[in-house]
Amino acid sequence: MPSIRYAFQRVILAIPVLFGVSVLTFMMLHLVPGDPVAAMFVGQGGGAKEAQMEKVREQLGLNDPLPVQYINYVRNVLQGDFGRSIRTNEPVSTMITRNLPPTLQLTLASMCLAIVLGVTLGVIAAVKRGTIVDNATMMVALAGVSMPSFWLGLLLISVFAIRLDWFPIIGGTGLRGLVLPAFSLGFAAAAIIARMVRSSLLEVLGENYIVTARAKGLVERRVIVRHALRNAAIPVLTIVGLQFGGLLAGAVIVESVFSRQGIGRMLVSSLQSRDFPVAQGGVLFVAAVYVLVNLLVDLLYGVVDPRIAVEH
Amino acid sequence: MKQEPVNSVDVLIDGYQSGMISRRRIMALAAKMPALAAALAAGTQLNSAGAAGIGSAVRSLTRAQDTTQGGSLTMAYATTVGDTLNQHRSNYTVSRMIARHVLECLTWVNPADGSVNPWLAESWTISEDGLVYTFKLKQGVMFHDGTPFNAAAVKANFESSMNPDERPGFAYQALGGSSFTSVEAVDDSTVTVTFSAPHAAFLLYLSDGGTGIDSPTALEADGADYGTTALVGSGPYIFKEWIADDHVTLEKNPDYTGGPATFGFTGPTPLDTLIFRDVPEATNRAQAVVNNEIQIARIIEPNVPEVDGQEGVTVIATPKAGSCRMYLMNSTKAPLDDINVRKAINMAIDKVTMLTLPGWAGFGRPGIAPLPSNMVPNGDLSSIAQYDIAFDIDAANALLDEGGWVLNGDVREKDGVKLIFDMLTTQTDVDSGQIEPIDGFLREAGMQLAIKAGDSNFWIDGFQAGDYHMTLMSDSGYIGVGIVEEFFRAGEPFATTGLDNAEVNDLIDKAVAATTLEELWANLMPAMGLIMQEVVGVMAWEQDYLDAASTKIQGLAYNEVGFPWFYGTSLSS
Repeated sequence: MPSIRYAFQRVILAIPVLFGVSVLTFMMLHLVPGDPVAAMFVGQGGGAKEAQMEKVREQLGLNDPLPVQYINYVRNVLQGDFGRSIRTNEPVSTMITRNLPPTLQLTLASMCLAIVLGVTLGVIAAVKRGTIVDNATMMVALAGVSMPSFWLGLLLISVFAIRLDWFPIIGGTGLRGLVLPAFSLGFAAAAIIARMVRSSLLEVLGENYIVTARAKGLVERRVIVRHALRNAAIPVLTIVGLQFGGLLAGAVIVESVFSRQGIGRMLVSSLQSRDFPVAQGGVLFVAAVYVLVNLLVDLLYGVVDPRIAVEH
Repeated sequence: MKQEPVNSVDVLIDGYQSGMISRRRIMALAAKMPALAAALAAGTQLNSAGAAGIGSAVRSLTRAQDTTQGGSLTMAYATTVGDTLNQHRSNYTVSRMIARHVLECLTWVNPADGSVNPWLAESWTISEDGLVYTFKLKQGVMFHDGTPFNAAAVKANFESSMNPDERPGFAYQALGGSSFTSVEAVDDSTVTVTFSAPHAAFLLYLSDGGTGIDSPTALEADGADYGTTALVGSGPYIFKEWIADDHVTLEKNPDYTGGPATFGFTGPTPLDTLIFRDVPEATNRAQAVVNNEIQIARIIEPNVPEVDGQEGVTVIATPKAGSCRMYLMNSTKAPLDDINVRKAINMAIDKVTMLTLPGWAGFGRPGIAPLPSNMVPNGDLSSIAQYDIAFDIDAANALLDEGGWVLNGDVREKDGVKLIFDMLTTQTDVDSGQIEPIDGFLREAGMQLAIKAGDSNFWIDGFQAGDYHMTLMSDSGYIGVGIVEEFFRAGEPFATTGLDNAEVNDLIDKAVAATTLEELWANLMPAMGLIMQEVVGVMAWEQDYLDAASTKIQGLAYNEVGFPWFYGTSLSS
């Protein structure tokens, strides 16, 4: 089947992408200043000796030449061993497995919020084109793309958690603890989706088949939802796929601001402490997820518009 | 009858010590009253009741056996377990402090007087040469997994800490480092530890969570995962789980009968659950206490205005165990290779006024020596206080004039060299407001800072390489000699001020090798005096740890390192 062949080709193409990501990540981690061993000992009341620190560097393989370190890493990864955290000695794979569900929860919640809010605002703006409603919704969208997620998060905490006490300040569990982080993360994506839906929908609403549908006497809601929106969906799907990667990246900041467990916080901690195995494993994982999501988006094109599947 | 005039300075200090006047208020007053400032600078002893400031009520050390039972208490730190809960491998202070709720230690240091008291070791003897310690162990103690505590358990623990094939933790240095020779289980209740050189601070180190005793069964069974998925001790709390960078959960040990005999509380701890949470943002930690999401949080000085005066919340100040916060200077890097420039920097910084600024919020005390007053016997630094360089902006300007440093615009220069100093720091310290005010002080004498801020790795890298003129530095820990050695003994990895004074090195070496604490201080105090005379830093302030705490917390105790120990703590309704 064309779709299966297409999917297989895309998976094969992902391998050099992931290889490139691992090389770049490795180089960047080792080129920035920071001795993870010194970071373990300074300011911790241990009175560490140089011999102690050197022993730890030796045990961690940090004295090996960089190419040797990278080859050892790749060899282990191909055997399913992503190494152990320099800091905690925990297997990296265990850390990723543990931190994935909360990040997925946050990312999916943000994505759902972004799609619902974005599509709603975009449709309203397109249908009410040129009116004050259109202007107002686009102002909201402009605010969304302008506000950094960490700033929005701190603002939401200040107003809704601290002053109004409607939501927990620090990473609460359950739905109540998810609202503010999801909104912080998803609002910018909602704004971008809204703008894309509006412009895409406006283009479609001018097509002849829409005129025909109206002429046939269909109610406006059916015209919009069944005919216009579906045809406007292709570019929107692309944006949604790209936004998912952005949401994963944004989770890094939002999880730290809201003290939520997740891949993002794991990555921030690992970078701060120069915990190379965790940082490399985390970045590689996020890259793999991004590649997979983009593949799914491509396959969804074929569902939304069967002509694309035939072309593939 | 003629009355003696009331000495207003004495009245103010009495008021502070009785808790009537807050720390912030006393520091603000000192900025306007030279006599009060002089009394504070001379190291007037502010006792622990006064040190509690506006939190003294919560810091009651009374332990009643029928305190309120049950409840869950959550404490937030920026980072709880920075590396591992396996104390044989950990180098992280907070990790050790948390572990000491699950593990018991051989000794217990009473923070009130610094005395070493029995805990799992009921008694001990030390050989005359200070090389052999013999401990008689408490009987009938069981680890949480049912393994009996005995001499073999102590031996297994110490050998794990000293295992040359494993990553060394804090425990490695605590147990003497390279001078540790052996540990033997003489019988079930007797263990001997032998050193090749005296280790005078050994008994003090044995009170630290880093040398707590784990179940040898669990140590062996869990292998590399011990400290991640398991932590088994004999203490008042049982380990439930640790999620890295998120939280540690401990549960009450209902069978606990232990506790140091002199601690004043025995039996199971009142709380059902104790949770330590990682909350990197300091403001979030403080506000979470105000909003009653958590009960206590370690905060920083800029957070104090957010919690001060909030209903149901108090701020507890505990003198930090460790070094003073010091603006260290690299004396090998021009123009700081001129001792008069370093002296002028000291003269230009008004430590008393500094403490009234938002970055300090009125907490802490002006520093004198590398170690603060709470770290020296009887809090007495008088023998070396004379070497502290007092604030005198006119003298600073005069000294620089004499040295030929001429004002050119805003900054002095000589032979093309300007008195602009690279201040290597972290962005966190800049944001906390403890860096830029120093630039303000220096500008009064025609000097300036060029602030170079980055993350902690940038800072540590630069510090180790000596790539700085000045940097804000300190270390935490109860054993002062190790801290002084760390920063001022030439050849140590973090001694980067360029100080290489043979007499200082000799005195520090003798302090490290001392057989008794008396001998230790007989060498360490004059070593600090010489360090002060070399002027390789500004011993800026004696820091307090600050905790925002709910007033519902009862029976809160602090250990000798300045961290809460929640044994005997309860929550009132």
